Amino acid sequence: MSNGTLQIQLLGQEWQTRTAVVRPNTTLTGNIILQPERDIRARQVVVHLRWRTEGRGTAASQNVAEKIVHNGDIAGYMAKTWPFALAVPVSPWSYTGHLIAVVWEVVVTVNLPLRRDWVVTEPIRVEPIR
Amino acid sequence: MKKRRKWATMVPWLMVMGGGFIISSAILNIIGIQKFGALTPQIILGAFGLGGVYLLGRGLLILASRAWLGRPSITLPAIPFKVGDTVPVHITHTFPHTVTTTGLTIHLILREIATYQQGEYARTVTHDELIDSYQAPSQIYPKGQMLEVSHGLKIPRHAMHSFKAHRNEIRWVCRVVIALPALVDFKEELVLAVQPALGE
Repeated sequence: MSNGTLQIQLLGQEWQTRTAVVRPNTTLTGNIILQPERDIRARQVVVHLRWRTEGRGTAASQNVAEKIVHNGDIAGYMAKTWPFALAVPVSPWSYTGHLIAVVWEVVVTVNLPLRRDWVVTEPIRVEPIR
Repeated sequence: MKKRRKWATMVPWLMVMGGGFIISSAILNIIGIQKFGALTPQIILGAFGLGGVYLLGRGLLILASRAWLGRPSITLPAIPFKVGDTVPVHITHTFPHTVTTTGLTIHLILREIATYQQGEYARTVTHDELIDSYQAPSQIYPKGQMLEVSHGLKIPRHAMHSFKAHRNEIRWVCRVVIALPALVDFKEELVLAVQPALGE
């Protein structure tokens, strides 16, 4: 049974091939838009900014910023918009190499009791103006 | 030219391997391994002996090469670099003997080092991306002559900074190679710290 739709809307960013480009040492702003199709029993809604590695090496990752945007149950049928602002650190920059890639993403997690969390991810690129 | 150099490099190795075979055979005869009757233990022990002598020979050849060439001084500024900077490399050396080099190369390398688990063992793989290089031609340096090379290697503005995470590393390396015919090449690597910032 569907909970509805959950979206991440990033504001004021540049876009390159449908991916938001964020500058290091700035603030990433956006909205989480939830359109619940029914009442949802939830603990909290959290947005994370994180990087992780991909490629041959064992994956490494780090949550660099986190914001709890909502606590408790979510009433159905009414669209919710939660704004967020997350500090983007100086490094690492996004990178794609032969063996290693550094990937950045914004992750929204709706923490559901006794059920698998509802997770939506939006990839971004973190790199300076060259 | 290349082919001649390859053969010239192989000669000392063949001599070392031949010597190893003779020495290991002599040792086996002295300890009386032939009392087993069969030739198999001799071959196995001979192979181990040969491997040991090969490694020993290679070590000695490296020492001889270092003694013959001496130790060139390679200096980089002791400051962290930024992406887009030029890395000035300075090599100085006074040759203790007359030395013929078949080339001197300076490479700026972006090295990816990835470690992964395979069963009980952690395996590490690396990939080197050559970013910038400088090559000096073959030359004969008489005894006492001074070598002085200065060259700037460019870190491109679109490049990545140094990065280290659990089992994943991106490392900037400056590698200097002085190629010596019939000896082991002089190789030295210096790791650069490249900050996550853009240079001028």
